[in-house]
Amino acid sequence: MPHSVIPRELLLDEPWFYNQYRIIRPEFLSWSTFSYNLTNEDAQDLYQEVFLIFWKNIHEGRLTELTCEPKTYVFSIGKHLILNFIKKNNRTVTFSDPELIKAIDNPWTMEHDRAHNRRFVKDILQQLPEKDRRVLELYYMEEKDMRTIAAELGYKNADVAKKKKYEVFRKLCSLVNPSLKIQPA
Amino acid sequence: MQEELKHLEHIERYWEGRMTQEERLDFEIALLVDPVLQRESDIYKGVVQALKDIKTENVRNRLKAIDTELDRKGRSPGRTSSFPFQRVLLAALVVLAIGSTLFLLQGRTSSTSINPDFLPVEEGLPVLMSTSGEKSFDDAMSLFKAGEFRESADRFIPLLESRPVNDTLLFYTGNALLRSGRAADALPLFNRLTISHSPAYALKAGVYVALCSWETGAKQEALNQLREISFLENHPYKNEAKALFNQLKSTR
Repeated sequence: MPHSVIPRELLLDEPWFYNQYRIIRPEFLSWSTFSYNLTNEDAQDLYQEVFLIFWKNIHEGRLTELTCEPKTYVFSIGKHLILNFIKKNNRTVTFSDPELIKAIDNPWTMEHDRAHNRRFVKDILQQLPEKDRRVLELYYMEEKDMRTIAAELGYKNADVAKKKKYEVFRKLCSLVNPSLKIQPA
Repeated sequence: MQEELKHLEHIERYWEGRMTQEERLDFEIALLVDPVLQRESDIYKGVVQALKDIKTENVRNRLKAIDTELDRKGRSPGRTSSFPFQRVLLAALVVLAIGSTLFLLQGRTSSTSINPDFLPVEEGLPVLMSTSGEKSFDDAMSLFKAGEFRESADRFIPLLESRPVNDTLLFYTGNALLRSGRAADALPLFNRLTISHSPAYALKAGVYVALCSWETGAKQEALNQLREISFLENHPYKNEAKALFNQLKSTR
């Protein structure tokens, strides 16, 4: 394939993204099971991880355009993940003395807190009126700008939508605050 | 609590990187000395992180759903084979053989549901300059050029069975099959061509994969593929893909 640039507009297109997942999957699974002797289950898990990284890189602004084929990009992330996975599986772990492990740095606790917050916020989000929930979803999860949100939800303009967004965000915070697990700064 | 979030606008502007350098400095100093602001900032981060994690979870669930769907359809080579290329090729040949047998037995005549005007024009190769230098290839090509696609496919198939990795044979057999209404048989041949070392065939095969997908009912997938090609800056068939995308979309 020739050298092409895939613009951000296309990278952000969800049908395109999920279609890449479908297209590249058979070859990735074959390659990873055959070349690295992975089990099918491990290969599938790693393939999902690859696409989550791909997705995060797009949506967190680290990937503004793709200057290679999606397959090349996916395989390069995949190779890195697979090698780490193999290394991790072969590693003998020596634990530090318990007193050297600071509770504040405990990644398990942090992960646990994040999972707790996710479940809790999700639950509260579902209890909000549809239009309130959508304004938060569109802004924080689908990364739409306020003008688009105003048009989609029928607000007069972007400023009105923005005010509504702050109002609903405050409401959400007031509902989740008692149970929110705060990560230390 | 709502009062506690009176700095929400500032906090969001800071964490979204929309403050000037001066504002940022002021805000960071305020964060150090004002425990209320610090608390609000922590809550903001926690809630926004949770919302992003929900989205990530949604994406993961979507990927899992695709896995389940593809595995159910038995389209996951990773689950079935360590030598997918050979297996896929073998499967394609079996499909072709069964397809041609059924076709001959039933004597059915069918053609593609795509408007023939939408299909890319393929003029075929000059028969005297055919790559194989064999009469059988020339016959198949002549039939193809005459628009006798069903007969042409019948001639190409045995040639492809004896030379399963020949790009020219894959391309014209696939074309003859597609144009005679056998897109499902043509699809694996074009899929194989997309990883050909010959860029001319590989690039064009992408368009044909989309057409076969359309014919076999995977219409959204076909439109996605065509749209993707039409977005690729240097793709030689981007205009054709765009035209096809618009034509097919209008027929949905």
